[in-house]
Amino acid sequence: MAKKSPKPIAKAPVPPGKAPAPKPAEKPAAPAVKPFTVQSYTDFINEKKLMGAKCKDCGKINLPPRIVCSNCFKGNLEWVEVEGKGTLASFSSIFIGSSFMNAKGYSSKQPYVFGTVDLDSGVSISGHIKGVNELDPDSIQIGMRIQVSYEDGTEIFIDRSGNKTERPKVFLTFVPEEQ
Amino acid sequence: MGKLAREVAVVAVGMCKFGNYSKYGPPEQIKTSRDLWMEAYLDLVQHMEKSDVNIQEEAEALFLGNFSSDLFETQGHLAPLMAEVIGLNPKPAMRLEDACVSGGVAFRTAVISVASGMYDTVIAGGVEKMTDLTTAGVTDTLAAAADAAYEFPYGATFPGLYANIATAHMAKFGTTLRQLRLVGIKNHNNGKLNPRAQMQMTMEDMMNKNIQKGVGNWNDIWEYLDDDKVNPWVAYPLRLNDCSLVTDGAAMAIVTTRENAAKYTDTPIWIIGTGQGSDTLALHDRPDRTHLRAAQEASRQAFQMAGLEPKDIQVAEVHDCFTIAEIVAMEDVGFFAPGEGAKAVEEGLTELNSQIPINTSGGLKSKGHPIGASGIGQIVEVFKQMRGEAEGQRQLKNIPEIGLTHNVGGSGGSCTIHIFKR
Repeated sequence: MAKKSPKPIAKAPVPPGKAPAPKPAEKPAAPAVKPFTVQSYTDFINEKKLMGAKCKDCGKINLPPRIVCSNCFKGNLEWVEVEGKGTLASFSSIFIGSSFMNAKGYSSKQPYVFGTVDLDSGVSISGHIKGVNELDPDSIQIGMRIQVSYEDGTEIFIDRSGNKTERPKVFLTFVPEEQ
Repeated sequence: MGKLAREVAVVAVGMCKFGNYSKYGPPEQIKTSRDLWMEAYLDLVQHMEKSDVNIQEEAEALFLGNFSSDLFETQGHLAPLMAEVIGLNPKPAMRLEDACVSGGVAFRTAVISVASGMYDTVIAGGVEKMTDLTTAGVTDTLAAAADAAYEFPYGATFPGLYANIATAHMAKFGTTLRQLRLVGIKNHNNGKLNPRAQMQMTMEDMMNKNIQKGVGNWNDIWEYLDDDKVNPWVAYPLRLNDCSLVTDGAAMAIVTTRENAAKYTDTPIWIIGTGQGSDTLALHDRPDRTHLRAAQEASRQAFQMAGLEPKDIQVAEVHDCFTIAEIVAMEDVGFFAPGEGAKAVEEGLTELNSQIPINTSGGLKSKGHPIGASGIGQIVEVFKQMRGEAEGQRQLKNIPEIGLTHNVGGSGGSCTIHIFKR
C-alpha cells in the first residue's frame, strides 16, 4: 500500500479568473488481477477456463476461488488454471429437478445427473454430469473417470427495471473421460 | 466449554397435528403458520400437568425456529408475530434460521439462555407452512439451504444431495435400496400410531388403498415400492417413499430452571447434554460424503456433557429427511458402527420395543417435516415417551429414562444433538 502523503488534504486555491483544467474522463482501470470472487469464477467459465485461487503461502488450490484461503485463512492468492479431470465421487439421477434445470428441458421423463467430482489436483466440485445414461443410473459408476466439458448456452438476464434479455453463457459440465 | 451453568428442564410440550393445510385445499382446512402455532399452544396448555401457571407471566422470551416463512408465505419478521398471538409481547422474541435444524437451534439457544441465568423460563418453538407453493417452488425454496453459487446452478436439489450421500454410502458400504426402503416402512409403521402424524398409515395401507382405487395390483410391498407409477423416482436412488413429507406444522416446549420446574410438573425432563456442529455448506467440499461431520461433532459434545455413551440411549428421534439420512444419523451418533446402520434396520433393531427404538413418532417420513418445527417436534416425542405419555400403541413398554434427539440442517451444514434424562 502507498504511504499516506503528509500534505494537507485541502486543495490549493484556484487563482481568480482561471477555471480548473477539465479532468480527463475517469474510467476505473481494469485491475491487473481479477478479484477472487464468485463472479470472476463464472467469467472464467464463460471463457471456458476452470480457474482456481492458489495460496502463495501454503500452496492450497482453492476451487472455486476464495478471497481467503480455505486452508491457512490468509489472503495471498494467485490464479491458476486447474485441469478438469478426475473421478466421480457421488451422483444422483434427478427426476424432480429444480426450476432452473426444468427450464433447460429436463423432466421426470428426461432426468439429469448431478454429482460431486474429485479432481486430480485434489479439489472437489459439484457438477452436471452429461454423456451418461440418466435413465439407467445403475450403469453409472462411482469412481469413473470424468472430465470437464463446456456447454454453450444462454441465460435470461433481468435488469433492475425488470426487462428480460437473453445473453450467451457457458455452462460447466462433466462428461466421461475420453480414452 | 461443554457444561450448562445450571440445570435446565423441559416441563411442557405441545404440537399441532402435522399436515397439509394448503391454500389450494378446501377453505375450512386452510391454515397459516400463525393458526398452526396457536394450535400447538393450545395443545401445550391442555396437556400441562399443573394448569394454574400463567405462561404469559412466566415466559420471558421466545426462541422460534423457522426456515423460510419469507419464501413459503411471503411473511418475514415472524417471531414477534408468534409472540403476539400467544400473549408474549413486549417480551423479546427472535427467529433462528439454520435450515432444517432451525428448531433444534432455537431449542439449544433457549436452553443456553436459561442455563446462563439470563432467563428463568422461556419458550422454544418452531413453525413452518410449506404447502402453498408449487412442487418446483418447494424444491427451489429447500434448495436455498444448499450452496447457491456452487451447487444450485449445477442442478442440486435436496433429494439430489441426499441421493449423492446415498450413492456414496452404497458404494462404500454396500448399502442396498431394500435397506433404504425398510427405514420408510418402519417409520410409517410407527407414524400410523401417532394421532399427530401427517400420514397415519403404513406402506401396506397405502398399497391396499391404491389397490382399492384400482390404480394397480401388487403381490407384496416390495413390488409396490418398485413401481414407478405409485412410487416414482425423485432422485435415484431415492423414490418418493424415501423422502420426508412436505408439511405444515408447529411445535413448542417450555424450558425452565429446577426452581421453577415444580410449578409445571412433578416429572420434568432434564437436558443433560447439548451439542452443535457445523460443516461446509457444499457437500463436495467434505472429504467424506458418507457421513456428516457436523452430526459427529454435535454428538461428541452432547455425550461428553452428559457423561454417557450411545449404548445408554433408550429412545431417539433422528433426522430422517430421507431414508438414507436415518442410516447415516444412527452411524454418526454412534448407535451403530459406520456401515452397520443399514443392517441394524434390516434386523429390526430400531423398531418399537427393540434394542434402540428410532423415530417412534413416525419420524419426518410419516409424522411430517415442517422444516423449522421438526427439531421441536422431535423433543415433543421424546418428552412424551420418557413420561409414558405417547398416545396409542407406540408408547414404549419400558418407559425410557434417557432419550436423544438429532436434528440436521441442509445436507449436513449444521446439526444439534440433545440428550434428555427423566
